[in-house]
Amino acid sequence: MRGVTVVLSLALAMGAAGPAEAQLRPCSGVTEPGLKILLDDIARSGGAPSPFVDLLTARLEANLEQLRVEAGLTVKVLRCAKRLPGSPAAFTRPLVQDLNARQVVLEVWGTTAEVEADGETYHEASIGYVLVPIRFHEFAAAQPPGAFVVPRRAKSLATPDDLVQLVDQAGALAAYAATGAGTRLARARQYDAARVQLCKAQTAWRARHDAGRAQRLAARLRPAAGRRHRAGRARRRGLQRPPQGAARERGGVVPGRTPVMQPRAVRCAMVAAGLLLATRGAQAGAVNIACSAPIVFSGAAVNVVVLPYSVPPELGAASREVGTKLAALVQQELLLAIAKYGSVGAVQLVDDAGRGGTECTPEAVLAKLLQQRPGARDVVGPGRGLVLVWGRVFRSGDALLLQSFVQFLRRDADETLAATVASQPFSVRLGAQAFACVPRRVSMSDLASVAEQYARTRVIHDAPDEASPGHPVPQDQPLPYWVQAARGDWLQIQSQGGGPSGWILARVDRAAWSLRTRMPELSFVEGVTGYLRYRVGTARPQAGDLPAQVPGGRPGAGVLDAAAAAIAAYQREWREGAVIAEAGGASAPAAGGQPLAIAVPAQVAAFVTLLRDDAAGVALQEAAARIDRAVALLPHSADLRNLSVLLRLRAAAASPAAAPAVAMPLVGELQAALAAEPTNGTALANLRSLCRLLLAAPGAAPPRLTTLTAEERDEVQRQLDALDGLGG
Amino acid sequence: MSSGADVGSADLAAALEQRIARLEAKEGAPPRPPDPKRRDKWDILQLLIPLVTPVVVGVVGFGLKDSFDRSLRREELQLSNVREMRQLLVDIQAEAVTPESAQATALTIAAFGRPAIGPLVTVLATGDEIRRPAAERALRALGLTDAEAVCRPLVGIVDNRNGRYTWLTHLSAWRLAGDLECGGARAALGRYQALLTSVASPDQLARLEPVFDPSVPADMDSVGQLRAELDRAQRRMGP
Repeated sequence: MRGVTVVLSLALAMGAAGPAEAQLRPCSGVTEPGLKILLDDIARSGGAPSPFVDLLTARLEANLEQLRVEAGLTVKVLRCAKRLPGSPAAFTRPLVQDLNARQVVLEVWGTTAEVEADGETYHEASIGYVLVPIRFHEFAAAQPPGAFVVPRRAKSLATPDDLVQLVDQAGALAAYAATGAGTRLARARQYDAARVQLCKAQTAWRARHDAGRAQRLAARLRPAAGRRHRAGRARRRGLQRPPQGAARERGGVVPGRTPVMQPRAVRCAMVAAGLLLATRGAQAGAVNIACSAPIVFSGAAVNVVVLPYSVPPELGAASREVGTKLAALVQQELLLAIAKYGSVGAVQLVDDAGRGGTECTPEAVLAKLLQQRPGARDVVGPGRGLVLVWGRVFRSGDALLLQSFVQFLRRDADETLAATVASQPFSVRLGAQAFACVPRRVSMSDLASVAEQYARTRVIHDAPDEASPGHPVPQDQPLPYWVQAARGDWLQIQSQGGGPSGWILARVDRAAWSLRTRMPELSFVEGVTGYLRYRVGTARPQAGDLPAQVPGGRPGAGVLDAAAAAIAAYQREWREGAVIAEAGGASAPAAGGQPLAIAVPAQVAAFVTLLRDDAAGVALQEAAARIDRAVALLPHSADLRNLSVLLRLRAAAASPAAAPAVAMPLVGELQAALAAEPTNGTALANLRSLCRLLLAAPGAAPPRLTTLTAEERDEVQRQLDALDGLGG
Repeated sequence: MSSGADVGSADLAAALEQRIARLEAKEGAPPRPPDPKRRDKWDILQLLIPLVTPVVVGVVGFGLKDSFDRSLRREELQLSNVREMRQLLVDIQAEAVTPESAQATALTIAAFGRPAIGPLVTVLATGDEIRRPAAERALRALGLTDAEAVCRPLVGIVDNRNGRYTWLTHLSAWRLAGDLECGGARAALGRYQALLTSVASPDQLARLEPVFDPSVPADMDSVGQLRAELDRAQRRMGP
């Protein structure tokens, strides 16, 4: 009886606490395996409507999309509907212990409010973070540092750019996520993986000029630094945030014939086009392909697949169609641009979720196209290239921001490059093959231009002239075609399976408006497609390859020239219209929250340079300088440092006079790469090769490289002995 | 001659008479004839049985009835408990549950006493980040008054090696066993320490695979937390 009384008293005491203001509900997806980030609802406090809610939600989602693409480890981002933590105090030890056990590394929530201060009204947006592993393990501290709120305040909503910067947490999110994941992995004694994440976090904090956090992280790093496991490095493959609400195309073409193709006919057409590509090295396109059953031209060396851009629902039903129209314009623009490479395909997907299809997400499409999941009609063949383009439009005050995401790969192939310098083997690897582009400001008039241009390009003319008779591209019907010719901005298409054929205007360039100027990243897509085209065409045939191992024949140096030119164009123009969130540091003007948008194109450009057997020393030095700038943005990237070393070695070999006067910094560079990422096998092998090269007899290597002092030779010899002791 | 024979017969008869007399004297006095007024125990018992039987039947019947009534009442109470707890169990499983409401509900369930142990252990084993801590707290409260009843299922949890429970449930069970000073868990504690000792590095985690429900994967951090909880439980339980 006494016990019942005690328990009832406790229950009553709990009940007497009254209805909880904080609605910390369970998050259903938390039981899924793998590292996770939880994004809770964005709450509005004070009752007054705040335009920050949508802004904050959109920005956080965009930031998390970027994080998912670029994290470097598989991190799932889960939306936790109706979960509204009131404050960091809501994250009690038992709750955080559970979250920590379920591999949640970060939880993010936000509140907005209008506040009065000094007689003026301010909009306040607060973003709360819980770094779950830190919160749990440091709970005994007086002020556990793992949970905190970052408040931001703005006086008005008149300056959207300011607001975007105000709430943009891309850099912070990356830093928090890396810190949480690193801590979690270190606790699980996965030291190498932990080290990579903590190095990344340290870099991010330094970039944000938060020296205190950087120092604390450095302290956290030291115990992990002493332990090395030689487990294989997990490669990042998965991604992505679902484009939401993309609508089907319903209008915008001139009246005319609308031939309908049946699915079977579409498949036959795809097979035919694929065979044609394989045998003729042609180009092909496909529009209105359902996202739930994506296709590629399996005979093509490289396919570019464009997903519908997601748009905010508040733009209205008509405006939502812009997402699909924008993807269609991107597909045609890219097809026109990459046709010169030969043996390429470009596919535009449409969201058919409303018609019984599955969710149109990049990860789902990628899994299907790589045969990791059923559902694709035609898949990417072994060794063939794929470029995936998707993005989102999101609102920021009165302005709209457009952000694209790019991922590229060759199926079943690592993006590595081998080179020999003075008889010593070296290799480099791309540090990332997916990144978020810098958001760009677009206006409603830009979206109107998209709709207008879409209408003009969705007409198949009898001649490459808009005044010539034409008929519309079938609405909502898949239309695969191969490209017979390109003339100016026009493509002559031959429809497969009985569809219409003729000329389509692929690009509508006007002085006032051009898709390319609004989306400079399309130049990068063009460039990376050329790079992949070259790699696929020059790869050694593997057992089990298709009969046409080199679709379209072996590409020449012209492909590399075109790819380099396109990437250079991106590097010149990427700042156009970009909204760069100030990270508060010197790196902000150069990178903002999207350092990979600079680093990845620089790496691909460097690879293109290295692919040339006759690369000039000057070109190699320039590429090395660009990579060094990327290293400054991402000092934790072992692959970037590795690439920098190889470029300098190749430059030294190509132009001995321009060789670095001191070779030891190259050793130091590779040591720094390995310090950040001990399991980076290419950096390890390169360091061994470099040591051997430096110790080589005079004349066997560029003279200025082998000119070492006795002390330097001893040090290099010790390094080599240590490396040989590791085996492998 | 004949007188001599007569004398002999007379002696024989006299001797026989004497012998009979001695025998009779030796055997004592001849039994007295029964007294019609005196009654033995059996007679009394036989007399009492008709009187006692209704009393005994009455007492036994009363006892049986009381036992039956109590059993019936217990069943009714059990049913009532189930009925009463049902809504509370629905409440704690509701989608909109918060930490505060979950704890209040769990403690109310705990107020039902022993019948609440099963449902609370189930919530402990299957709950999420909101419900599991609430169930643990409620079991702790229940254990304040009926530690033995709470300890029994806890020992069952930590002794299970068939992957029925997640390592988080094992952790909670050890925490509760320590808090409630479950003496019956000492043997299990020794076995558990041996199990954890066998996992010294990540490559030995496979040894725990059959032990824990894989829905919450165990890693070296989990092992560390379990070890710490085990040490704490050992300190609380004493040698």
